[in-house]
Amino acid sequence: MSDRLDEVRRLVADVLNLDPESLGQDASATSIEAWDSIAHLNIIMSIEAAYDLEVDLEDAMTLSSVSGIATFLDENVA
Amino acid sequence: MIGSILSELKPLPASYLKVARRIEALESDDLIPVRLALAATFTADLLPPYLIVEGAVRGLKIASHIAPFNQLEQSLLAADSALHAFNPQVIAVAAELRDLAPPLAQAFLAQSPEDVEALLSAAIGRLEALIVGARATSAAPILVFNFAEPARLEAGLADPALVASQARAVEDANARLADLCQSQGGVHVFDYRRVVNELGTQRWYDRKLWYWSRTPFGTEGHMALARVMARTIRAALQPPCKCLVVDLDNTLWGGIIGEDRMNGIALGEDYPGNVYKDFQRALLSLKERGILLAIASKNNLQDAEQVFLEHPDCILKLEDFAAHQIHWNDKAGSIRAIAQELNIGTDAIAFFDDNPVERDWVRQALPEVKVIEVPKDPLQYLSALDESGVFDQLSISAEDRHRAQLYQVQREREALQANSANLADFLSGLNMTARIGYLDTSTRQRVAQLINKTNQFNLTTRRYSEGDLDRMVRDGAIVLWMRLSDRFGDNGLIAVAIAVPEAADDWRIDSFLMSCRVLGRQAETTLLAYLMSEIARRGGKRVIGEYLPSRKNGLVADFYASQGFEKQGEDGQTWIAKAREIPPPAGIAVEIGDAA
Repeated sequence: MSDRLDEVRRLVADVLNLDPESLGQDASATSIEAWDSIAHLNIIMSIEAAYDLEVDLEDAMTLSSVSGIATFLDENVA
Repeated sequence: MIGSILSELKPLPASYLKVARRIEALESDDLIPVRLALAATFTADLLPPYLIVEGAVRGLKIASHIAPFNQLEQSLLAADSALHAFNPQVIAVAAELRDLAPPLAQAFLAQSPEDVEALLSAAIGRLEALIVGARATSAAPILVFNFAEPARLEAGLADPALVASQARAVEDANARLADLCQSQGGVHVFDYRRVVNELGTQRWYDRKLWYWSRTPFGTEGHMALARVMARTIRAALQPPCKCLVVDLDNTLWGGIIGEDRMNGIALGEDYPGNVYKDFQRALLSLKERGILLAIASKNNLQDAEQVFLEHPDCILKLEDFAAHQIHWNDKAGSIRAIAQELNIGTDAIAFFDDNPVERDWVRQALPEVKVIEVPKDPLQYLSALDESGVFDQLSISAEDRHRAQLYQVQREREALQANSANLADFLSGLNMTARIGYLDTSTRQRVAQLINKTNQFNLTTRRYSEGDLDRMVRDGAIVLWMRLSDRFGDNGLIAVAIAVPEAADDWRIDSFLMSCRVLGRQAETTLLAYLMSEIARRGGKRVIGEYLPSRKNGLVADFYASQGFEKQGEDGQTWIAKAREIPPPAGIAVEIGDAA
């Protein structure tokens, strides 16, 4: 796995109180029960704070998997 | 342990969540558990981890219950709501003006000044009903958020020119809210407006979170809000420190007076002297609101005195300090001596010293003293003092404002005592007048304050909020206060007695406490005599006095014995006397009044 993917897994795991190792890259809001709407807000806000960027609302609502977030960061972070 | 957990904190939600979970899992007694219930018109569900972290910084373990958003009435008014079932120790009510009075936010320019007035009245009226309703079920302190300026003013640049401007409407709402809180016992304004201002409206409001989830503010906002809420919650539950002990060299002025002499120390109108001069001004304003100032300095006394007497830019004078220890002995000993001289506990003392070695020594020798972490840069002194929160209090009473003066007068009294041949002469020379009255709205705040901070002359050390007191009176308790004045001045409201009716003709003295300022003047006998008489007038036959020993109230272990009560059982905790009319002791005139 790439470093980026690893970073995202750690961040999502911190929010969801899960072991990062248990999160595959297809881990998502639909596959993980703890990933509810409040957790999702916290994940997006954490991404924004950690990478110092602003995620559009459209993107924020749909970025609901580890791989999706990693890809988004690859495209938007230098 | 807590320190090492907190040191891992980063300013992002994931980190707050992780650190909060570790704090929650801690099984240590270092943090005081507090249950907070929050009812908001917006989504506040992201707040709990921030509250846990910021609470831990201030010695609290905050468990929060967040009521479903925009269900203020359902949560606060229904006695069987989940909020009340949580049995909160503090209740916070966070209503935004745009939710309480939507036209003020969405169609402000369509409102006439009369409409604005009516909308504001309705909004404040709704809050009042919520507060009164919540109070019927809970005696917990209630924090009511005031209102921040909106993100956008409808009239834009022209807003200040409107007859009734939108910004002005917010100010009016806040003034009315302050009046409302003032009129209720145990209800305090939470200065949300100030929290928003400190960050600035542009950074505060987060449009995305608002449209997405009805959360008005982002990560930075959550951190800032939780920080001030934690400070406020602590202030609602714990009394502030009573005394600030400061060092002199490199604290009240730059440099070392013993080496740099008068001309060499930094204190004046230019940098760096102006920094120290402003710090002195801030200390003086602390004194004005009732914090005692004291000095613990390693110096030659004459050198230090010379600065206070002769330096033209020295704002503070030696008389501004209630006590001083200026010599070469260790500072833990100095702090102990100051506590003894002022008749306060060392745990009521905060210590401010630029020298980390002195701070460390005091921390080790007297762990109960609140040692403030002083930054190297004197420009940061004041914010370190403020941020420490050691003097945080939610209201300032008239007694607070006069305290320093009271101590000054106390020294004059002691001088008289030293010159009097015997105690009886001294007491009769004081021309004392006691005024005794029943708890009312004008005395409630001070009575609760005294109940919650008196440790030494306190028979039971039971702590009650203003809400608790109102409820006890409703349930038939006698709640008395006493003021004492003498020829040197007014000592203020200095004693409280609470008696509750029990089965048959028994009354129990639930609380009996007095400020140590007036110790040894038979003031306590005066209040007890009135209480016993009042119980008799109400048909009581037997009075039960309790003494619950604490770490600090050994002073009053024999109080009931000295007042003619008979001991019941061996532990000395229960005492019995017959209820009857008792005249006040000679030498104290007694007035009965309701005006405090």
